Amino acid sequence: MKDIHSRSVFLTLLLILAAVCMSVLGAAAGEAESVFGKAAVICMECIGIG
Amino acid sequence: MAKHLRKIIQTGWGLLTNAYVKGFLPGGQTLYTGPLKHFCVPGMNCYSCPGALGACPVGALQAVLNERHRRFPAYVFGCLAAVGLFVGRFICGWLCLFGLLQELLYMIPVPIPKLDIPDKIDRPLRRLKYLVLSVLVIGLPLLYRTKYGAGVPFFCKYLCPVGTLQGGVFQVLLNDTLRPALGWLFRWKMLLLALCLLSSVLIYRPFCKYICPLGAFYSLFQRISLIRIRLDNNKCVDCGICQRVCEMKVDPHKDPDSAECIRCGECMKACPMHALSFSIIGKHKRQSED
Repeated sequence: MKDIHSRSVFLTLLLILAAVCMSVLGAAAGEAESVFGKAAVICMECIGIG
Repeated sequence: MAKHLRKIIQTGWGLLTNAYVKGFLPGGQTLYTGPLKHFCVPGMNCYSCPGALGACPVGALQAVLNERHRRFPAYVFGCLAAVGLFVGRFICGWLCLFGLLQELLYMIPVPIPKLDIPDKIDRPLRRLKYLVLSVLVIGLPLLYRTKYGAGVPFFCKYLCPVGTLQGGVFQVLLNDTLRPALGWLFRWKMLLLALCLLSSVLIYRPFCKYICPLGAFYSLFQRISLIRIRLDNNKCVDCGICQRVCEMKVDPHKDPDSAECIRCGECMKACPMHALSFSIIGKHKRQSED
């Protein structure tokens, strides 16, 4: 029983690590720049104009 | 102080993430354009808010999906998944400014009883947020292109009341040049915002319960997140108080990992036996075994 729960913690930690790696790879591929490009100018759609 | 700890943290986080004071000054630079805008804040927070220091995760997700050359949004998805895997919907309960606003509106006393939506209406409505996430945030921004090849952030454009409030209202008040461009879309979004805010007086967090795509995303990780709510069966006396105080209509003593739980901790405060607490998975299970 104890092993099953230890495994579930391990699995969650592994998934967190995978998610962090994914975000690092995405950022390295220039995705963070795309986010910045949208976030640094007024979003007309958000306001209800565009 | 401890009684209001959550409200203090919600307010503090809201102020911290919208701390670009210069943006609120008439005639000043309208938006913060520093390096922090590369990063997504974990809660709903429009990046067009004059004070916003970070990017809205839902807007950022659509922005990447809207690109001409389609690609998997690894950066935004990875960040959100990491947060979800770590704390689940704890973000909704503790670090969302729009959630706080709805809670404050719900505290307004009214001469009529607060609305208790019957289960048979409430349950299907709760699934609506998954539809919003899959269709308006992911599906349409990924698949639809205008004749010029541009994508459309459907959720931000047609639905998001957070953007209307934080971006729309402030930008229109501060920026004269935007006012002549206002049309039916702005009126539609203002109507949705008004509906959302007015319904919040009678219903606890209606946007979070039924519409929020970010809450829907985080809820997918509730059952496997590292931080969860622990129920100590040795202490629980099945009094049902935790269920009665939960405004999200969760029954923590039956399902502490419910997808609808925003981990606000009100059930823990109310429990006379102190049977509920936050814990890291594993620790909880081992204690139960002892």
